[in-house]
Parts: sequence; C-alpha cells; structure tokens
Amino acid sequence: MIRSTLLLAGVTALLLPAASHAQVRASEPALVAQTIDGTRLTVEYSRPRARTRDSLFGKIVTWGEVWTPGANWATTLDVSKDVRVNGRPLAAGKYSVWIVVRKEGAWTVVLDPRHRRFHTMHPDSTAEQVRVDVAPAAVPFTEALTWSFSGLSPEGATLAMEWGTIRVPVEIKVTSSMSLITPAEKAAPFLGAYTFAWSGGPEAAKPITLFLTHENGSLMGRWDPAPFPEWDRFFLIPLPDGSFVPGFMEKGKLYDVERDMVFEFVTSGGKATEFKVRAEKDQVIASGKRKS
Amino acid sequence: MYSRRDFLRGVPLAGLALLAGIRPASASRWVIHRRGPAAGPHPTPRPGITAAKVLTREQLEDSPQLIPLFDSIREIPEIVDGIRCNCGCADVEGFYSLLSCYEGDAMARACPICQGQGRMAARLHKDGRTLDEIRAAIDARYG
Repeated sequence: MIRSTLLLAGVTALLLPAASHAQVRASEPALVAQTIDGTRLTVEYSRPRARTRDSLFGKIVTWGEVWTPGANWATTLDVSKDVRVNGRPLAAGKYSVWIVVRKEGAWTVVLDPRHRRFHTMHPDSTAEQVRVDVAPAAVPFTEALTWSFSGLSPEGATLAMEWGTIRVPVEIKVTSSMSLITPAEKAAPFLGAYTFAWSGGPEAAKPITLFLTHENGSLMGRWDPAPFPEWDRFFLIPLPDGSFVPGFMEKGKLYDVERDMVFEFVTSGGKATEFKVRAEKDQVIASGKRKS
Repeated sequence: MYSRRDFLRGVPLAGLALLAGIRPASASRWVIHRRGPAAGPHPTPRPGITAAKVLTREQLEDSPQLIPLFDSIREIPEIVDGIRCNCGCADVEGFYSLLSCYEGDAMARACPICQGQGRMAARLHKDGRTLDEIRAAIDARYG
C-alpha cells in the first residue's frame, strides 16, 4: 500500500504541469550583470531576507565563518575576460564567492574556481583561490541581501554586497580593449589642421576645421566649431588596421568610444593629406583635407 | 533631445538618402543591430562556392538602394565566404559565413553590420587586398 502510494505520488509529480513547480522561497534567486568595455560580469545568488532578525553579522553569520554572501547554492561571480579584483588578477571564469567575516579588522573575499558548491560546503584554502581583503562599511538597512554594480567607469566598477547595515565593496578593473596612447612618432604624420565636411544632412554645408594635436601621449582632435559641446575635444584611438575612432571625454576623462565613426587617413610623403570617416555600414559620412 | 548618436546614426544618412532621392523602404532599415561577441575564427571558403543564392536585382525590388551592394557581393563569393559576420548571426543555424547574410532571408537586407562588412570586403578586395588582409581589417573595425 505504501509502495503504491509512493508510486502514485511520483507519477503525479511527473505529470504536474511545470508551473506547479513555482514556489515561494525564503531566499529568492537573483542575477545581476554588467558589461564594461566588452567584459561581462555576472553575479548569481539567492537573496536571504533579514526577516526581523537583528545582528545579522556576529549572530546569523558568525564571526570567523567562511560564508557565501547569499543562500542555498554559493553565490557565483562569472567574468568573461581577465579582470583585477582589488588589484589582484582574476582569470576569466566562474567562481563561487565567499566572505570570511570578522568582528574586527578587514574581511576577506574568497573567489574559488570550484563554483558549484552548496552554502554548507565551505571551501578549504587552496592556491587556485583569489583572496582579497575588504573593508566592511556601515550603511542604511537593506532587508534582502543585494549585489550591485556602482561607480561605473570605462575601466571598471565597484561590485558591492549589502545586507542589514553592512556593505562590502570590491573594485573590479577590466582589461581595456583599446589604448589611448599613440607614440609621438606615430602621431606625427597626422598632426595639423584639416577641413571637415559631413557628407549629408543639414550639417553638410557648415565649414568646420579639425585640429589634430599630440597631448600627454595621445592623439587628440578638436573641431571648430564643434557640432555638439561634448565634441569639443576627443581622443583619436588607434585601431589595429591603422585607422582611428573617436573617444569622447567628460571632465578630461574618456567616457564613450564611437566605434561607428572610423577615421581612415591617406598619407603621402610621410604626412596625412586627407581622410574619410566611415560609419557602421562602411559608408562615408564625412571627409576632409589637410589645410596646414 | 538631439544627441550625438542621433546625429551619427540619423542625420547624415538620412541626408544622403534624401540627396540620392531614396526613401527608406521601411522603418526596419534603420534598426540598429549591435555587434555580437567575437564568434570565433573566420570560416574557410567552401570549395567551388558560388553566388548562385545571393539575392538578385528582382528579389531586391523593395530595396533598390541595396542592389549595388548585393551585386558587389555576387562578384566575390569566394572572398565573402571566408569572412565571419560579427552581428551575431554567425550563431544562427544554417549560417556559414558573411555570404549567408546575402542569401535566402538575407539578414543584410536590414542589418547594418552585415551591410558594412560586405561593403568593406568588396571595397578592400577592389583595392587589391588579400582575404587575410580583409579579415584583419574587418576584425579591427567590427570584431
């Protein structure tokens, strides 16, 4: 009878529609992802809630514990390319995330390549792990444990865990896909003033001068007049095929690279004489000739 | 608000089209496709590959502005078949190379990256560049 009941229960479970597997969980699964300069950073975790429990750290999470900042299966961090975490190199891959919580002093974030681990499978210390010290900070109360990316820049971001009144941040720096540096001897053929004309649209008839200079190791462009205030000055970033793309600045720092605006120069006698600007469909959207 | 991206992706192109007396066939022509992650190495051109499946002038009646591009692809199937498309379509079942973007449903009808890579390949081939040089240039631009 018992066997029949179990069999019936098993068959019933198999026949139930998929929707019936949906369930309310104390720690709901979540995912947060951020792409920076082509590097995708993904955190997958479950979100425990404080549920009126006070003193989360030191009580629910005991001092000295190697704790996964999440619940159920260990929180994971997946990085699509090599990055640096608080200055330490971290190879592309997926890692389980653990934090050694301490009553005093720095905490330690542990990234373990053995990423599929249940939260009770605390990892022993291995040479393959990346361990970085972090400074927990006091913040306003957060009910459900939350991972987030903030402080975005072209170079990286701050990845932080918040739960209760604690915030644990780590700095992630991505590998830059391009260099702002153009050596002086490579920049020299391009320096000078050029005419600049859009190929179409209402802007086509407006006379514009493009000035190229070499400043602080970078080839820089400046339009006069600038089509937009934010275009006032820009980096010309070299591509492997000898062309350049503009990198736009805010407060002197790169914030956006326009990959669909490629400057192709024609050189003669060691100097650039003219250029074309090509867009995504390889069509010419602007061109110019050397003035001086 | 009129932004830099609006300017780059709209005004000059629309201006060019108007100057040429051409109107976009549909709004989809202006859909922005994004480059996908590098999908791996360039394919090896298939021996004996031809342009027999590349859309013809008649099949492009609704997009006459694309006829010169498709015609230029038709002239160099052995080159285009050795180039990976970076718009993400390389992952679609049945796609082999950039040439696939110009056949059948022809993603190049609407995708600016398929169009840009095709136009660039034809232009560089006309300039006497080898397949490897064209691949390198396309990787620098679209990879």
